[in-house]
Amino acid sequence: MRAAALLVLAGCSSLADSGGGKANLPNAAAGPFRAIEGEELGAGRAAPYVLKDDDDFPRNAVVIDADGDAATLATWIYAAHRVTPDEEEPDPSVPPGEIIRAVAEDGRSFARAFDVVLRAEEAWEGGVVDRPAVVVFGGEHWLFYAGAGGIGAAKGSDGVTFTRVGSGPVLAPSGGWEAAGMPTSPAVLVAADGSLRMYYEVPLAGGSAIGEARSSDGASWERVGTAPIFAPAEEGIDAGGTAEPYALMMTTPEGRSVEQLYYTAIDAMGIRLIGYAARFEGEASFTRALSPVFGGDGDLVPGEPCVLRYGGFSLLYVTEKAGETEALDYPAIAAGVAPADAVLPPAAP
Amino acid sequence: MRLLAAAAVLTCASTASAAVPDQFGFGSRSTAMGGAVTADAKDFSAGYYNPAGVVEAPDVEVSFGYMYNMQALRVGELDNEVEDVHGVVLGLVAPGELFGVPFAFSVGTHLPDDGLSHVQARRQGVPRWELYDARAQLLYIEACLAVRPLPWLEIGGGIGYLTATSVHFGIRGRADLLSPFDSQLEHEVDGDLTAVRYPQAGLRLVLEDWGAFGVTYRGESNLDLEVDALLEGVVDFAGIEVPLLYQLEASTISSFTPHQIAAGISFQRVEDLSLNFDLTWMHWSNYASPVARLFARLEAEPPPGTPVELPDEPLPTIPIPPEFSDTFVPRAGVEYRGVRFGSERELDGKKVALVEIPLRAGYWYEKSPVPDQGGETNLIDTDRHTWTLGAAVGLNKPFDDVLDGSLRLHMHGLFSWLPERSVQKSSAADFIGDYRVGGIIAGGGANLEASF
Repeated sequence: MRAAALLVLAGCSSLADSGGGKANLPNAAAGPFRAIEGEELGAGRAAPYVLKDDDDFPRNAVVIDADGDAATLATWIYAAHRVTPDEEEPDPSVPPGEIIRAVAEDGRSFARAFDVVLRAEEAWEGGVVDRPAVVVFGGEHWLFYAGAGGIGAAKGSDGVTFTRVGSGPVLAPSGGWEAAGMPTSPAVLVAADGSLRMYYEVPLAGGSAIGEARSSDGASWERVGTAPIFAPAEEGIDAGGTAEPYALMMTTPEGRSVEQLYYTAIDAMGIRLIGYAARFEGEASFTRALSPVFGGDGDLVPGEPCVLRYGGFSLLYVTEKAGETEALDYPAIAAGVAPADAVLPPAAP
Repeated sequence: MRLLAAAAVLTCASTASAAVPDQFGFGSRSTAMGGAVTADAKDFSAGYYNPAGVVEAPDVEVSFGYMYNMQALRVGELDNEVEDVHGVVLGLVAPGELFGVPFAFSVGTHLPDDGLSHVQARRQGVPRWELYDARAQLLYIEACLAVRPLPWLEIGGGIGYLTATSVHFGIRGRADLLSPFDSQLEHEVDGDLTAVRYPQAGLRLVLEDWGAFGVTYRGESNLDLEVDALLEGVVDFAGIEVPLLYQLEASTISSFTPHQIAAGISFQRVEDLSLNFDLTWMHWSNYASPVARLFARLEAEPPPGTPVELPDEPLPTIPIPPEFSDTFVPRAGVEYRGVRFGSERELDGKKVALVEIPLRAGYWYEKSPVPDQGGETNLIDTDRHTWTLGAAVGLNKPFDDVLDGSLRLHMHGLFSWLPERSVQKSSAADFIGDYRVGGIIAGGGANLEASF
């Protein structure tokens, strides 16, 4: 009855529209990420996979801005893969022996053609080059990678042709908290002071932890501190390990520098998700985010995160299973976007 | 899918807000004076500003008007497209005398012209302009009575109404997943638009030759949004029948109007001039969390061995107390009534000119009640300075044969500046991060008042 009375009073009204106030709301675009969808990828690709091949198994990728301009989407992806000899059956469990580079004009629809930029050749590499990290430093592209005996480095001027730096790894096993564990999965960034910072995983008995090293020339590295900068928590999504770091620096709209750390979070049951932590400049320790940023229930076993920032959104690249069936039980590179309501520019063909 | 949709509601918070007059004024005369009319409200708007004032009306007055307020509220440099606030304003004042005591009845309303009641639901932590986003998309009605038992004392009281919404929807029957058109489902939707009421009362002391002093109390109101849903039936998947029951009840506060006590004084010592000052206490610390209180239950019995994985019942959101602070809102207003011309005539026993043009101006300042948002919540708000200007064109007894009273067109303009406020998160890993907010509000309106 009361409603009827009100409706009489409002006889000239129309229905309310959908409501505003939702445009341009603040968001650090740090996560959580949603998987990109079909129409957000170029033709012939199956979302959310931006690079997928059931012969060579490209995996463990890093993506960089091709022209250094965040306003454009041109990107290069560096991924590890393995060329299977004709007489062998493709086997995703065989470690990769090459690092390739492919190009995308839209940040995610990578061309199927690629260049091989590094092959395992050195004895210390043990036939393995994997988990690339690429950074532009001193006007050159520096490629850091994991080999069987540690972390190696190579550099080149065009992002395609690389020459190894030295004859051995730039970061080899060490004592102390690393307990002679093999450093692997490097992530490298250029700090505000112009030096290089490397974050790397060290497998330990109690679960992988993340260490930090610094360098002024890319060739010689000095470990920071006497403890890992990020280690498994007592409980939660990374109680079983913190692995495969990816780090980047950003400045908030209020001018504060933030060091962001994405990583593979492994819980006590072995379930893997993508975790996120960050610290303000000057803070000693990283603060964990309230929730994982990607991975759903972990069925696809995501790992090796890499994040690239654009104007109003970020793209996350992870290596995960190509699907949940046995036939798709091989690694592929998937992408996600944050914030979840971001509208991506049109996909490249 | 429905389950997921229903679950999505569970962590929603609605956009909570207050009534239109609190933020944009009520009636062009009162708004043009910055709302500083607790001691000087004389028309239908007195029902909001001070119900005692309606007894000042000499004749029956009918008002019809419209107001529009454009909100340009932004984060950083980008506009958030918060909806403009606009609607029809109606008012009626009917004075009389009862047992020799002057009394008056008044009713007024703000009627949004794009809907009766509009609320939005968002998850906790999602940024929103807490006090501006959709706050005025609500129907507001006030009704009051006032008496003047003594020549220097006026007392009034009334009720404010806001609309609220409750919705029930239910789905019952049998769903065949492989042949949807063979499904037999009953749908039921029941929506109810109800009103919440809160008291308003005022007192006005007339200080002869000096002006007046007024005090007003406005009660608190919580406007509930309630949703309950029931999904009950059998899901048939290729011959496997799964009885299913999903029950959801969610309720939240979609609008909050704080307790308010306003005190005002109107200096009228100088002829044709009113200088008004108000101070309003607003009990924002009682602001309730807009996060939904909920109950959810899922019951399903898939046959043993069926590869059906039931989702966990969603955990309730733990509301973070908003911890708003009480505020004091100072207001100032001025009205100059010395501009008049035209032939003289008698109205209500006084000599008046044919044309009167009162000029008005005002200002008020609202300190934001919202605390620093360095944590998980993102209730966006900032302080607000508002300047107003206005005028009226009054015609006294313009048509003796038709209108033995007056016609007045009141107009006002409003400009609010919301100075920038910086939000810096305590956690570097906050998904929203730092931001800076600010904006402006510009508006205006007019109402035509006829007295008989």
